[in-house]
Amino acid sequence: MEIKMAKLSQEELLTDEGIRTDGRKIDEARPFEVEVGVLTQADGSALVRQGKNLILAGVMGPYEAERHSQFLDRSSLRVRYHMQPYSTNERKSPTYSRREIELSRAIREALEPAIILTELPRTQIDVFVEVLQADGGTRCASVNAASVALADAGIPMRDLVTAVAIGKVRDTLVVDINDLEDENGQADFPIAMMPNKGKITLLQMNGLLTQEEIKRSVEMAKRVINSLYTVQVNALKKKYAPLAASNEG
Amino acid sequence: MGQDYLEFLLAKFKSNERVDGRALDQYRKLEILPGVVPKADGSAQVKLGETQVLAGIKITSGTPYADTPNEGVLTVGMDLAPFAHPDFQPGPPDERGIGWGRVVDRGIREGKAIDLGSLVIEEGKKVAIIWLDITVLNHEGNVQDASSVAALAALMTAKFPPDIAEALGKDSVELAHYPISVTIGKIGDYLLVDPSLEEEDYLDSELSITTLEDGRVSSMQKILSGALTEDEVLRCVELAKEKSDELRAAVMDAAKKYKSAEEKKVNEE
Amino acid sequence: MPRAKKKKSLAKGLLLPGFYISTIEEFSAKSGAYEDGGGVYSSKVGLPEYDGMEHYVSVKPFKVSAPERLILGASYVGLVSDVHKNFAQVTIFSKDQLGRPVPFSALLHVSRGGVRRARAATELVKPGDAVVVKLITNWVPLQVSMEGPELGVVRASCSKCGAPLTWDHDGVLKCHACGHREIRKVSVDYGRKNLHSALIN
Repeated sequence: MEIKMAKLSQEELLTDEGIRTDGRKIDEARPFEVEVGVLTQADGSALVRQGKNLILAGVMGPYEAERHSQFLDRSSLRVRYHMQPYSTNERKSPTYSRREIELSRAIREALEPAIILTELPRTQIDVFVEVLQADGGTRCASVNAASVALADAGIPMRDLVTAVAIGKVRDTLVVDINDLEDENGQADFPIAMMPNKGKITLLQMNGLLTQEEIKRSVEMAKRVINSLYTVQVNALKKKYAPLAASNEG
Repeated sequence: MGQDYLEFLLAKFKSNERVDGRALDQYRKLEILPGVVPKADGSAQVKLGETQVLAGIKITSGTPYADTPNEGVLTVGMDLAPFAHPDFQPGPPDERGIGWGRVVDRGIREGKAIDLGSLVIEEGKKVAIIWLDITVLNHEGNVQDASSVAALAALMTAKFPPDIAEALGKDSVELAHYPISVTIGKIGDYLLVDPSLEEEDYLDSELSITTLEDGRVSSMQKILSGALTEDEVLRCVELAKEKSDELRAAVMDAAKKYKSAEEKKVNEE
Repeated sequence: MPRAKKKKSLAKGLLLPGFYISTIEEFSAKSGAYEDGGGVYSSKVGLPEYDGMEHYVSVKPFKVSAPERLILGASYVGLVSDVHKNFAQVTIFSKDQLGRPVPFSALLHVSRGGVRRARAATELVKPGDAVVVKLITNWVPLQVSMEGPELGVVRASCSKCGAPLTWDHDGVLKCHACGHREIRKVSVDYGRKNLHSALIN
């Protein structure tokens, strides 16, 4: 998939005053919104807006897994990340690409540690992520949507999973990179964590970073992840608090 | 078991009432949101009851088809998101999904809603290609009409990318006609407009009729293995015209509101 | 995050996965909760329920998935898919959050067929039969039993001509179309209408 977009120099990505292409400061995350339970046929669902990313995750199951793909002692998790043809700058062909396969796996591996799979042996859990609009950091936004959808579906989990991509532009670390920064920057570093456990479940880095930069990136990511996590929690509370109230009453 | 429920439905229909409280000729609540995907050249999300679809448009330039060198190209695609219904598998749509896409495609194409001749940049060499892709996000019945409404709303609010706009000398896709599909299902002797997912399981026949704003019909399609009398078909055509006017008015209203909001934004900048 | 200082001030209200409930000394985790390090945490979106006597805490979830709805000892309608000498494979139906039927595979052993003299499962059921069975394990592999008068075959077709079989006498079904007789473990409810809705708990 080609994304033909503006080729920017490092100076264009970050001004002397420390302002990025979309007006943000280096430690400022993009606007983040989560809506829970937007679908009726899926067992759990969440719609996420992270910057210009618009991503819908739906969970189906758990149901009995097919003979050949089932585990006797645990559930089998399938994740499918898919982009709609109109979601990117250049139209994307509807056929399933290698990149989508790779991202499906990355997202699955980010979510698996958080799910208590051994509670549901021989079953299958399907997580479907549809990218309706993409703008950099879609795998992180997908993890953010999928973990909320899993909680909404009643899947047993150790924690939610929250993710953000750190980048480097003009030799400076920046949080929550957008499309332009992803394409033109010096590094791209998505990180996912179980926020209450402090454990990292997704870690991929492309580019060049020093050891010190890696350490700082993880610290910066942690801070952003904590604030994104609050949004995820509030979204689930918004849907379920009224049910909790009527239960107690 | 199914038989008992069917008898229950028929008894209700006799009093012009459906399980969800609607009259037999009543549509579910319709919400139209143009411009939900700003990066696309046009887009619209539609909620018809709980059925949700999203139409997205991308416009590129390319070579025309060999047999129509003086025409631009319109291609309509359908994608059934696997979370939209347990029957939907990942991958290309099944025959039902393809059928839904064809209803939208034929309605626009046969109705000559877009003057493809006006999309030519260089005859025989370069034309505008309109890629209209419809994603079914949640299936609770009547995907056809929801898609038809979304497609029209997206087309009405679409804008050409700057280079193509310059080459064609116009900003937006100018529609010549405004086709809208109306789907009617038959259970026993009763005709139901906008079948819900539950009702779809009991239909003997289903008829989708696309009507233009001037009352002419641009496409019709009957599916399922029941039969319709001549009277029933004519009654459906009448019903389709009436209902399509209602739906079309809602699309026009949503498109108008969206365009004026967009203009306001531009003026403020 | 709610933190239990003493048993008196317990985590109340809505819990999400990962929310802390108590130390493992105060409570043990039951369903909907799990233990990690020295703490008990919620694994579901739900409300906590404390058992003061036994010192258990469980989280009652708002959504219960189909496999979790399978209740030990409950009766389920099923379809027989395969029959072997010592056991038959039965597909039973649970329900999901929306009330849709969700299939699960279960095994019926000949010794739990409810017919003492039966030497093979083929004397109890045949493929395609609709049965009512009782769940005797709700862990994997699921196992069911037909021991009890209401349990057994509730609908079957003639293996010779395919017509529906009717009840003839104890343990025997007869085909009115071709006269053929077949043996089954027959439920007292054989041939009753509306069985599905009456049975799924």
